Amino acid sequence: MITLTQVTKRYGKVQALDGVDLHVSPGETLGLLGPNGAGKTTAIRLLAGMTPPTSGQVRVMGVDPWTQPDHVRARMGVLPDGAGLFERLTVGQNLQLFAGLHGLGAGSVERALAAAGVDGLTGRRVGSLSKGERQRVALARALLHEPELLILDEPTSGLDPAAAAAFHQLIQELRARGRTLVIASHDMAEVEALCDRVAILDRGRLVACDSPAALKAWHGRRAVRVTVARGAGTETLQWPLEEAAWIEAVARYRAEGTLLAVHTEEATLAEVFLQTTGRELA
Amino acid sequence: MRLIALAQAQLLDMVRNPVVTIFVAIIPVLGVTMKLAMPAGTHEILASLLFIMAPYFVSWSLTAQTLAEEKEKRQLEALFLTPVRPWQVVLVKSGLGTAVSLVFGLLIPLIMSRAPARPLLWFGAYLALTLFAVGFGTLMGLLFQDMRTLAVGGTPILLLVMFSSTMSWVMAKPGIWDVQVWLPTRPSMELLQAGYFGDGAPVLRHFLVMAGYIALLWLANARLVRRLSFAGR
Repeated sequence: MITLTQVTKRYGKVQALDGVDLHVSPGETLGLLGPNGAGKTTAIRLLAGMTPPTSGQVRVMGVDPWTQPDHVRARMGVLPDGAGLFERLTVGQNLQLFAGLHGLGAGSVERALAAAGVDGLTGRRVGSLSKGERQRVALARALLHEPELLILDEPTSGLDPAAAAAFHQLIQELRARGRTLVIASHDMAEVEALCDRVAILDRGRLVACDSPAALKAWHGRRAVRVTVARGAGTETLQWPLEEAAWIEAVARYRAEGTLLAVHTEEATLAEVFLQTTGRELA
Repeated sequence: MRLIALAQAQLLDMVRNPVVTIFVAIIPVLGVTMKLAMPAGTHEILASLLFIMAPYFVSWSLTAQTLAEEKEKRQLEALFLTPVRPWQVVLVKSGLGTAVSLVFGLLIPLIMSRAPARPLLWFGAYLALTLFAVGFGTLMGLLFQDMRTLAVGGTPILLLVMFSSTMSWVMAKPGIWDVQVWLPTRPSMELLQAGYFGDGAPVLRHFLVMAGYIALLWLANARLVRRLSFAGR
């Protein structure tokens, strides 16, 4: 669905992307994780054909989006950062505009609004909507032409937890329907919950790309925590998962009858990010 | 179909935009109020003022301000994620600006209760000024990235272009007139005077000067439109 080969993008002296190789298969959900300025939005602009790479090759659905933007945009929906809706128009008028630009009939508007769960907002002016509602309307706009590929740039940025959770549910439904998704975010919990694979970008470089579980297994700390009875109280002991010592200890405490609990502890994506980039995700 | 969808949305947005409404409505309101308040002998100056202000105010609000606002609110970016081309967006905005300006141009003789002495010449002069003003408004909208910088940086330029060659017109010495007739706005002003009041003017030369400025503006706009899809980066 998407292939980036040694893609570099430079804006003047700023190196936005540096030798990025990336592949996204049909039906997959890929998370682009990184702080502001990591190159996530630049990657999205390249995929949408809004800018050419300085060097390297970008292919979306088999074609170069810069030279064949219509081919790509007809099959790709984008939810840009900052919904970009016309605030003085109603929800319905906004979607009718974009349906017209895609050459679609009126039926597509109702279908997209229903898919994004905002069919009750058709007559409301966008300026009067909450941020969560606007994001849903912007998602409906991205779904108008029923794209195979959906790109979401910071989809829940600035949303309250309830609105973000509702939006996540919507994304899960899209995943279940087999859509290919690329989600750019700096929210690690969001990326971990929604994505099959996570590409970590840092200062324009792709520093890691794998499933959240694999990333945590390879780059993060995994530990075993053993809780045992000590007199009237308890004590918690900890070993790295890779060390065999905890197996002997668990067997011994079990034989003594003091073993209370054994937990494994996984690294978080935040720790993975710290380990792969040497700094925390702001 | 794309152009129609864009034009419909732009018109709706324009009607609901209080800034645009005030900018556009100021012309007929000002015209009627001043005509009632000013003595009949000054109505020629008033008509001349309205003929200059109408195209500039309309194009400023419909092209410069809407382009800057749509860049600021990332609406242009959303548009460019569809098959629409940047030049189509600019074409619709400038087309609407031209149409609204022409409507207001036709209103001015009604407000002044006086038909043009040479209607064709008057209309040609007003159309030339409208095309220049729309091109200028588009240039400002393309150059400035948001409403604030447009207001701070663009408004003085608008006032300079609109009035530098026309406000001192009555008082300036003949030597200064010789320079002013080569600046934008003034040739249209003299053509409008000739068409509306029947005054004399070097018609061909003035039209050629305005045509030169219009061509230059739209060439500059064409270059900027090619870069428009990267707005807001």
